[in-house]
Amino acid sequence: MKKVAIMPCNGVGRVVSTITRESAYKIHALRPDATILISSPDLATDNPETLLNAKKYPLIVIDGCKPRCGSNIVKAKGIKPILEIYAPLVCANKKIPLSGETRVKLGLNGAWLAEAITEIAVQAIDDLLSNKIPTIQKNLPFKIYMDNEEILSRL
Amino acid sequence: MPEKVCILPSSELTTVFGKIGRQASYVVCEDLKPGKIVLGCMPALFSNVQEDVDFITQYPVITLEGHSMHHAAKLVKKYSQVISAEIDIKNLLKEADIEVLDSSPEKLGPNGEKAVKFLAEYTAKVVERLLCSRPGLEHSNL
Repeated sequence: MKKVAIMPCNGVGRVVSTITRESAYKIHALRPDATILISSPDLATDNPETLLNAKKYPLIVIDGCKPRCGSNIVKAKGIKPILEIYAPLVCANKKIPLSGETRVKLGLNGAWLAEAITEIAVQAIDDLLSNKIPTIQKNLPFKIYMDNEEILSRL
Repeated sequence: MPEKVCILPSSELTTVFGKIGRQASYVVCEDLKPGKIVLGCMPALFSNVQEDVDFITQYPVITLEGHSMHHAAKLVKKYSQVISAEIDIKNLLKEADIEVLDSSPEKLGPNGEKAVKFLAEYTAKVVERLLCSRPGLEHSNL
């Protein structure tokens, strides 16, 4: 069975971290057999199983804030992600206001952004598993690395 | 005496204890010890975000471990920093006879919420001890 790995930044300090985490759970719930979740703290500290999975499957990273810690972690481990989704870009593109949202529990707008990120990722997963270039490339300025043969070979 | 304490939850994505640790850290930070806590972020610490590096170098550190491999402590030790308290959430809840079978990494049930409350109160007591400790003694007997 083909799979795609999903890694949200999974931080704790900001509301966008909670949103990226929520997105990852939603993506996995929508495509349970086609996705595997990667925990960034596990990867950062070299959990062997997590490291193996992150290298074995094409990886989508969801970054929550400017330091882009999720992308930093995978790069530090020598892994090239297939797609980087940057939550603030999605937020700006969809014009979703996040004032009043808290990191403890998401309200309506936080859930809206999580849903928007989920839609983008699920579309990309479906495209990837059909061996198509993800169509989101045309619409949003995400970093995408479908030209890399090594990554394609993981599908 | 330290002005603040750093809580670093391991925040695993795929274990219920990661979720419990994360939620408990919010309770301590926002409700039980407001103004006395800085919340460390593991991915940010790994990425050398200065604010998070400062947290673990300037304040006593409590790690809330949601995985048996103690990822948070492992990362702090990479920075050669001493950990004042390393709390293994699974073991702590076992000792307290709290089972969280009704909960998952995505959603907490009533027992999961009870676990969050217990861990938050336990952590707040550790914070209190650290805040009252004399300089240099904050790492002893915890």
